Amino acid sequence: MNERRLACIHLPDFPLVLYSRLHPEVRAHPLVLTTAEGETATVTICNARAAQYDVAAGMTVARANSLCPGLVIGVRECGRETAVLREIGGALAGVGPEIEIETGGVIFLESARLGKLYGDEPGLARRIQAVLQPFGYPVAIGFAANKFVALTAARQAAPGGWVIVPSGSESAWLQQLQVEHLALSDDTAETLSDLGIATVGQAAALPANEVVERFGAEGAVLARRARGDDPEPFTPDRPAADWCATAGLDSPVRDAATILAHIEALLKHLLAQPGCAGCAVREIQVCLHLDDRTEQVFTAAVEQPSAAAARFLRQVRLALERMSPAAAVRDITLRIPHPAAAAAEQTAFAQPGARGEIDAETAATIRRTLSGNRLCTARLLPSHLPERAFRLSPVTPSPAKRPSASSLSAGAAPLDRLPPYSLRRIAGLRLLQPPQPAEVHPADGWLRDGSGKHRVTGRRGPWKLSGDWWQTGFDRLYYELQTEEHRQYLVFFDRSRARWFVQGVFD
Amino acid sequence: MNRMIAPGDIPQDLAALKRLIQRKWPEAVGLASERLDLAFRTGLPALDALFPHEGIPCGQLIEITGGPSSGKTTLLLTLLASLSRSGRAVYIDLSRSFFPAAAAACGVDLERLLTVAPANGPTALRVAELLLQSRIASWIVLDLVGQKEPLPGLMLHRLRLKVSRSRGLVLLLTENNSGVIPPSMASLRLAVARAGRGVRLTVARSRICKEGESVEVCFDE
Repeated sequence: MNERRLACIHLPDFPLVLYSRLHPEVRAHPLVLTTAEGETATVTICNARAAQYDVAAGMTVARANSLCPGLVIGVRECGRETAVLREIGGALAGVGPEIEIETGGVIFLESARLGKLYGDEPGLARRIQAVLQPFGYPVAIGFAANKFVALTAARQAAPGGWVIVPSGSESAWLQQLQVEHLALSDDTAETLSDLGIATVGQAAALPANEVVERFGAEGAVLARRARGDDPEPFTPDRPAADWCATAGLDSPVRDAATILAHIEALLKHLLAQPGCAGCAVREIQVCLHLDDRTEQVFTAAVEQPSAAAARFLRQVRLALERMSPAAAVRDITLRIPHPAAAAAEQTAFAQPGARGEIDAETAATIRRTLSGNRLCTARLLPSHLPERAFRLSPVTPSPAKRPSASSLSAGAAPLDRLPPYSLRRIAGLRLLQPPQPAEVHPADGWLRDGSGKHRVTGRRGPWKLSGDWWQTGFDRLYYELQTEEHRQYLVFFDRSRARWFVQGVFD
Repeated sequence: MNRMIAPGDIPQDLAALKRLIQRKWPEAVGLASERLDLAFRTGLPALDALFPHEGIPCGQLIEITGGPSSGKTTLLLTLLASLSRSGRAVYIDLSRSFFPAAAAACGVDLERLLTVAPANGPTALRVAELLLQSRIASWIVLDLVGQKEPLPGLMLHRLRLKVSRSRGLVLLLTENNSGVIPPSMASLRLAVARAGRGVRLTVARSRICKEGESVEVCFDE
């Protein structure tokens, strides 16, 4: 059985970020959020500006007001928070099927079975960051064997980065952290502080039974968490409603072929439901309502998740052959019992295909076939010059055995992953390497390249690019030109050589 | 069960014929529909709607063709973005014009994309075969823009068999009337033409959906 691994996706200060997005006018002010209106309401979260005035979560609004002049007090929009988190969870469902959404900007994703698809955990982290990038929230990720350690790891990670806690080393990893990370009540935290217990390691060294005796239920949680254990299980979200379809027959039917025909029609209808369209299903529950007011239930399951009615129909046929209904069938109900457990379809059908890794033998065969040329991966580089904006690096064959995960690793900030070449939105630019000399006559409005002479009907630009003055240097004026045949060129005038070149063609 | 059908008993009606085949050779129908059922959703709903299972069926050679600046590369990169989300993809760049920044801007996950620039068409086909065979990738793009020499039919046929077995997809990017791919080789030939801010896709030839249909696809700004 696979061990449990969880990825905790943490959106730091999510309620504040969301509130600032909904009310942009408050961005420059000290801000606190509460769950209710009124002076007696409690502050649940505050921004850095408010924290400068010693405002902190847990104090009353009246107290916060007295500490910080010009404080803006907002009421958390929990409905909106939930909606946004569900939207983000929906996007993450394309990464992995088992997701648990918690309040306050925390989402857990089961990651143990995603290795085939994304490689190691940094690969998965990069994937998650890429999927969540369009939402525009800062994201920190933690990987661990349980929810508590994963969340703590995520809180330790910088926005845009990740922290991995290998299974079995949770206790060691937690030791140096402050005891506040155990999410204790104020009273318990104060008592521990009075006892001189400042770190999780010190709390873990206390005898568990005495901690439970002293602090009650919270002590039990404390004792387990301090040892890297988590009493709270991972419970993936299920959709609000089952996917279900029912058909009432005109008259009770006993003939297996007719029953099968009805099930086939119903199955196609069920699998075509909009909610089902993007998903595959592992099993379908068939319930036959019989004429004698009893029910016969059986399950048609397939090994690989599928949305193909034919696959399930075969299983249904076999099941019907095994157990012929005891009485005539009046109604038929089909239900997808665990839709959330079914892998996202694209995940599912990628599994039997691509293995993904390149072993040394295959790499050598490909190299022989390509006579020296190699399989490469592309990486973007921070350059404005298109031809220098990327690098192709040969792929290294994976070793026979994967190296064990390093003890702790933090991800790099994703700045180097931003596309640096941004003259315009690059839609399908085909780059000519090296740039092809061309003749451009802006005044007469024509361009001559390898394919002939074209009349120019429109242009954008120029954009000036110059640099590398300490070396040979470049000094270019870039234009986008459109010809009367609707071809779109990216051209530049090399000012140092006084010549025109075609850099690429938009296609 | 008697599986023989007398020539006179073959029904003329397509639905009746399908029912007959389903009754006589259920396993054949099952296999065929299974293969077609495994559809890849491109993320372009208008394009997906062309196919019976609302996505391009896997295990096929798909040709995307169009003139210069028609939007064919943008379409290809958009499809590649969807493909790279569900596994490793390989871009076989015969035209030597692949621009990673453009691919990234279209949403392609560069970390899951391999590129290779073979010297000629036969080598490209051999590499594609190897990649499918060794399961390094299921999604292969063959950029044949600017190619003049027709690709060897036998090798294309072999590639078609390999992709069918691997349930991957091979996308062939060609220029209008280049004649690089024999017309019958690809299961689907999508002709791309500029239309307003997006492109118009016409099913020029198909074994998997209705020919002659066309849709407009707008790429997000």
